[in-house]
Amino acid sequence: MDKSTNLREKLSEIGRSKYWAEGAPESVIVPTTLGLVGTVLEPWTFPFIVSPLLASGVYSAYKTLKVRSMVEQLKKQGYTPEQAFKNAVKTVGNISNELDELKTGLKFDITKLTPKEREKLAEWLRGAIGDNKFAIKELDAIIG
Amino acid sequence: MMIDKYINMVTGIGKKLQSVVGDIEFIKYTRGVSDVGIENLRSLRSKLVDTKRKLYDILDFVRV
Repeated sequence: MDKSTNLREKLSEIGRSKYWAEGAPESVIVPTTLGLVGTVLEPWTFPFIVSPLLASGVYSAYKTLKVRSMVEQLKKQGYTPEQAFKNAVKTVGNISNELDELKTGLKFDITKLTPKEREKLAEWLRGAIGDNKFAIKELDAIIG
Repeated sequence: MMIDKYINMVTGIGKKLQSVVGDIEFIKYTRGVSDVGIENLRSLRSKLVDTKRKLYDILDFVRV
């Protein structure tokens, strides 16, 4: 695996973890939460509530820095958005062919798999579906 | 074992999907949308919708 593929996979990990950790942009969560806290809780409870929120802000900032450094590394290697797009299209084409092969193979072998093995395979497929959905969601976010 | 062969195939597909996500993140953080073009990104999206459909199709086939 070359260095750029490794970095792209890491970028994917951070993108997905940021998404699952936050669920929504922090700028929306924090003011809304603080507003709710202010109306419901006594002032002495604030340090217990606000500290974890600030900590999550620091964590998010750290991840953003990490993403930036990886993007800069890729740029230094001469990687461009056009290349990223070309690679993405090529990879999706390969995935599509592999899915056809997978289905053809399974048509022959499905009866040789036990129910437990089939369930295990289904779990892995659900994981891949999650990644595929995330890719579509990220594209929707940048296409607008 | 036969199951290992199929799980390896799905793992390989998952890794490839992650590299696609990495490329999308790269375009996002470099603000490279105008370099790539919205229409091209829409076409990539429709290819991804197609692979999602294929994945669901296989999942239905595999599910007991």
